[in-house]
Amino acid sequence: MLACADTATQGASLEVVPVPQVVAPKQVEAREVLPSFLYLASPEEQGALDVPWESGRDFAVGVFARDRGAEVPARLVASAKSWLCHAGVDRTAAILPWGAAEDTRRISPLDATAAYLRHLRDVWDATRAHADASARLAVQEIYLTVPASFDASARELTVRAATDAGLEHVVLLEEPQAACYAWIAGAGEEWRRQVRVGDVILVCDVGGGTTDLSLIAVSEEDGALALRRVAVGDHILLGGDNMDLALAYTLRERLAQRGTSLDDWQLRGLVHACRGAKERLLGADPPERVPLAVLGRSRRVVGGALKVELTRGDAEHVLVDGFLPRVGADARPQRGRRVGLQEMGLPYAADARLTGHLAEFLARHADAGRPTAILFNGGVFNAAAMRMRVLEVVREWLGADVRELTGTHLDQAVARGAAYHGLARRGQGLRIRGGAARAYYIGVEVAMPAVPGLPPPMKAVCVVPRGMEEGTEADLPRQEFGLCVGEPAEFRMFGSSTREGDALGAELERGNGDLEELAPLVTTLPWPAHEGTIVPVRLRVHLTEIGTLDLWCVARDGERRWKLEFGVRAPDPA
Amino acid sequence: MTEKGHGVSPMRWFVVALLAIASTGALALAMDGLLRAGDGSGVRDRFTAAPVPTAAALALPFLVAWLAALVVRAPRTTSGGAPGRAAASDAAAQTVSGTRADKSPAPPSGAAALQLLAVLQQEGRFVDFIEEDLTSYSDEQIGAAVRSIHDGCRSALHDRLELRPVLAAAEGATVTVERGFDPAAVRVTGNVRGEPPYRGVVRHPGWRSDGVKLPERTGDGDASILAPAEVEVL
Repeated sequence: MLACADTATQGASLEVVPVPQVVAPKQVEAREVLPSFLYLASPEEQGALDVPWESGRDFAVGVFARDRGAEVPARLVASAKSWLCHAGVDRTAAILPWGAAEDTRRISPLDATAAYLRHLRDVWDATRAHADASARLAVQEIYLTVPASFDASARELTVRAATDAGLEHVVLLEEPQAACYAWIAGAGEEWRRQVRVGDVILVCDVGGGTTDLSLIAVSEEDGALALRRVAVGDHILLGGDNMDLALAYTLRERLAQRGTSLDDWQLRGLVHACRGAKERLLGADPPERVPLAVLGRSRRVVGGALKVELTRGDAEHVLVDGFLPRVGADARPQRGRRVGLQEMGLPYAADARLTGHLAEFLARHADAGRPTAILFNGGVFNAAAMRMRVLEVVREWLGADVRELTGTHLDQAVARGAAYHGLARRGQGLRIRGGAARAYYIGVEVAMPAVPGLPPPMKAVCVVPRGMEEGTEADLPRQEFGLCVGEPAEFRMFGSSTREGDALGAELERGNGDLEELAPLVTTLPWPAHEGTIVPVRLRVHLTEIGTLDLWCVARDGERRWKLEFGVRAPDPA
Repeated sequence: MTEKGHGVSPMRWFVVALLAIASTGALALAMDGLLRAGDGSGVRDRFTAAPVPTAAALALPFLVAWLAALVVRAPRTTSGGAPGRAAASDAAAQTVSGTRADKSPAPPSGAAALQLLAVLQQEGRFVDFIEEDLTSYSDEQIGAAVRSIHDGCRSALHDRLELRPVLAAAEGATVTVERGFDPAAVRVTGNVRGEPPYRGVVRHPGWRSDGVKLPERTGDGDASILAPAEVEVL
């Protein structure tokens, strides 16, 4: 979704920009949202996927990609965002569609992301800038929203995708923060009365495929209310799509008992029908039952129609009790069993209980404060019953009242909030301070006499303390590394969203369960005529204003430096 | 994206098409509802005798009218109960069509109507529904399917037309039809005598659409394909 704010006018209003996209072969129509799906067309389809500003496209993004891709999964790239933060694969290699045969056309998660951004850029340039080069998207201030759970390498790749799409001036913004901005923008001055100093806001953002959690604390600075993002959750691959599927599978089961089996096409129709029924059955003033029909696939649309019925009880049982069961505060999501030959696909959540994930998040970040208010985001929460259940459960855990912050548009909040944030940075509104959501560590081998069969122990050195402010640049005080010129050097990288209080340069024993291994940092020192020499370097950390983490190797003389790039994590041998 | 006027206002077709769809869908739904509601076998008997032919027969005139509109390409009439506004927008549309005609050859006749039909088929299976022989199906079967077809066609139309009644007054309300009214927008029936103004009761507030937003066509494709054939590779 693309939203904009005109900074030239005082008290600028936010606007959602409709996105023209291919909706059917040779048909382009503007829609509010560009669904993140990319369809790799066959040669015959080229020419049918043209957009007004570009002909000869051999792919489609958006509505048609989603619908057509569902019919031909081997050509559909989906969930590029989640692939972008999957450290187990090379995100710059042509690996998507995942599992497609070797000889089919594939692209990288990075390229898919760049394709979406390029489409949005062209839409803007064609519908807003026209021929005016000074109004192009590339010269606008751009805020790209990313899940709060994105680690440093995923953020870096997002910025790279933007650069590939010709967008240089991007700043990353965490989606739950953006939702919070949307709430502030929507409430106007009223927001200062809706929260108090000491409040902690839980942002519960359930999108189509992912769930993103954050805690934002309200404090006072210079007599005014200030907001600070104090905790972010992990990337949970569980969302509204799972719910539609769950309903559809329930109905499919019921049809199967009647002796009717559904093919994939019919199941997709059923999922679609369930999506609409879900909102009615769980919304305000719900009907007792909603009749659904799966239309015939052939021309016999009536003759082939299957009739099913979804009751309010079904919706409450499958969705509310299934995804948001009343669990204790000590509940933890079950992890998927590690199978010997596990496929490296996306790490979908093994436990569908969102309340379990939420309990774990709150327990991990208990020191950040107990939430006193909840801000919901995502279309799932259009259903009042879903919001009520989350509020109920959290109230029960905390034994205290938890308010619901209202007034946001659950489907548009993130885009609108990002545009509002753009204004906030120009001094027209409030800014949430965040800092690094995670602490980062690099792995350093401990010097000790070699023992055959025993890898040298590893210690983790903190390079970014949690909460480090954006714009900070710091040298790692003590450690010096010897790097061999001309040979690739690799640093193992770890992150933790829970460890608190580790200062820059703090050393930890590796084997600490809090640390999660990320993609390694790699560099090759190019220095002509010095190949083979060992250069002593120190590490310099720069947490950029745009939200990425840069690490540099700086030679002792301070004159030469080399940037470390995120590479691919070798598969865990364990 | 924009209305592609080229001599004949496509809006005329849309309104007629719309009437056809609305009445067919509504009729089928109403029948389904009646049958469910009616415990008495009298109602059921009447409909079970020939439910589907009745529906088809009633829908047919609208379809014919619509197709006639396509073929005849009747000259445009001023539409609407607000003549000033309608005239202004028509003038604008004409200007637009003038500049467009200079740039690109006019699309094949009826392309916009076919495009709307394609959208209705794509999102509401409209053509499949109209073309299906319903005689052998139970009303329950038809009712179940129509609900879904109706949903799809309705949202397809609402996304692309700006539907509203011609008259703001509710059905059953008494209104005055002033002198100089547009006979295309208001049909005066019954005991009509002398000169306007006429006082009468609104039996149908009419429908109008002041805007059409159809998908933009790219390439010089064949507008005659309403739905592609599907071949599943096994």
